[in-house]
Amino acid sequence: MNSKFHTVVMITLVIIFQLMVNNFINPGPYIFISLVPFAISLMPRSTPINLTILLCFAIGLTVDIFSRGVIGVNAAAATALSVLRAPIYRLTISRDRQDITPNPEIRQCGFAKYLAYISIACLSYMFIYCSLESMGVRSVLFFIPQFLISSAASVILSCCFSLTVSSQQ
Amino acid sequence: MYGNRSLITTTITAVLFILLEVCSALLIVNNGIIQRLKAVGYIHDVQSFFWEKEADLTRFLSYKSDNQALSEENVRLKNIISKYRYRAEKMDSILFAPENGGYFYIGARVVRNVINSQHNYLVLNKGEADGVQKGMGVVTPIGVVGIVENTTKNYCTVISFLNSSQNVSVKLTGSGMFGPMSWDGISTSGSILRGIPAYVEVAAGDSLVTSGYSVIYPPEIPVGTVRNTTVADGLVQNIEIDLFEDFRSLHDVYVVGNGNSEELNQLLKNE
Repeated sequence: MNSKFHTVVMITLVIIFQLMVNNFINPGPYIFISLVPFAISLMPRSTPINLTILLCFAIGLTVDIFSRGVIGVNAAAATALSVLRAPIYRLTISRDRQDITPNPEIRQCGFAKYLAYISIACLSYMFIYCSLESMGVRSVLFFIPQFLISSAASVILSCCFSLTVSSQQ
Repeated sequence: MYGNRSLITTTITAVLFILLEVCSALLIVNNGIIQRLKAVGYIHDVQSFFWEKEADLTRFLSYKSDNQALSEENVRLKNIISKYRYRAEKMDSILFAPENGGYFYIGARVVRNVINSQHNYLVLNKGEADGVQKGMGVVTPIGVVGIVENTTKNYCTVISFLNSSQNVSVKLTGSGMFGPMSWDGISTSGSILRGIPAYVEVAAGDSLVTSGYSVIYPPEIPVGTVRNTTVADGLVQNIEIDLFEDFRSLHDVYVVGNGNSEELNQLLKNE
């Protein structure tokens, strides 16, 4: 119970931080920092898939509603990531460690494996996000830098947050 | 049992996922102006694709009735042209002797076509009720087909041009020389023009049209081209002709009547 409460609080804090980044920091058109993949990674792996999908949609929608962007973009990307979460975990984190970690954490999984996990998660999320946001009105020359820079920025920030969360535990 | 439960769970998950993604897409379309325009554009593209296919299908299904309508229109126009041509010829008759005129056309469809014997014939779906009479010619825009032999109320039989007894007066478009053309008795696309003087220069590929020196067929109907020439008796040449008309694929024809045929026949009898 305590662990679940802790997870809910952590996810809420991450979402609040995400909203602050969205609304008060304007790093330019090529950079969109998203902590939604990190927030999704905080959810225990034992969470039923249907509940995971619903929670991810709710997280994405919350970010959409309280941000200035187009409503539905984060919700669509987060819902897609909810389904991709398990395959990405199996792909990046070795089978023997799957049993001992309830969710991917940088200290338990190791930096390289965590980096691989969060990178693929952020790339997947950002690909959907940037595609839906530009949706044929922006050229590939804009889309590719935005997608890559935003993914890199999100990965770096997610790693920093993961280190912070792990040190608190 | 376990497999069924797994299938149901997977289905529920898939439905939930699709439902939420659709909700997200609807939110995007409703809240983003650019996204809405783009989505509407995609939808219109898809709609246009299906509309085009539907139009193609409808057009394809209406080919039969369109064909029928075009055929009727063709007959109507041919009759109008013929009428005006006749009037024009009448006007010219102040200076020149009148030619055969007053042709009228009746569109018909071939319901039977015998082409494998030496005495071939056709059956058309038009008869006395449609104005068809014995002795009328049967033509297409690219050749002569035959002469009406017998009529009933709704049908008529036609002695095909592919018949040893049939002759059609044709002329060479270059020299204007004319003569009787008859079937070669061998193929459905071959005929022979006889009686052209040997001094007339005829080359392979020269075209031939009906001469109009007949009560039955109107003038200037293209019939074929010269394939080969041979001199017979040292005085005349026989010209082998490739017919334009393919008798194996004959479907729509025109029965052509001459409004002055009785008068002309009477005159010819008296002579």
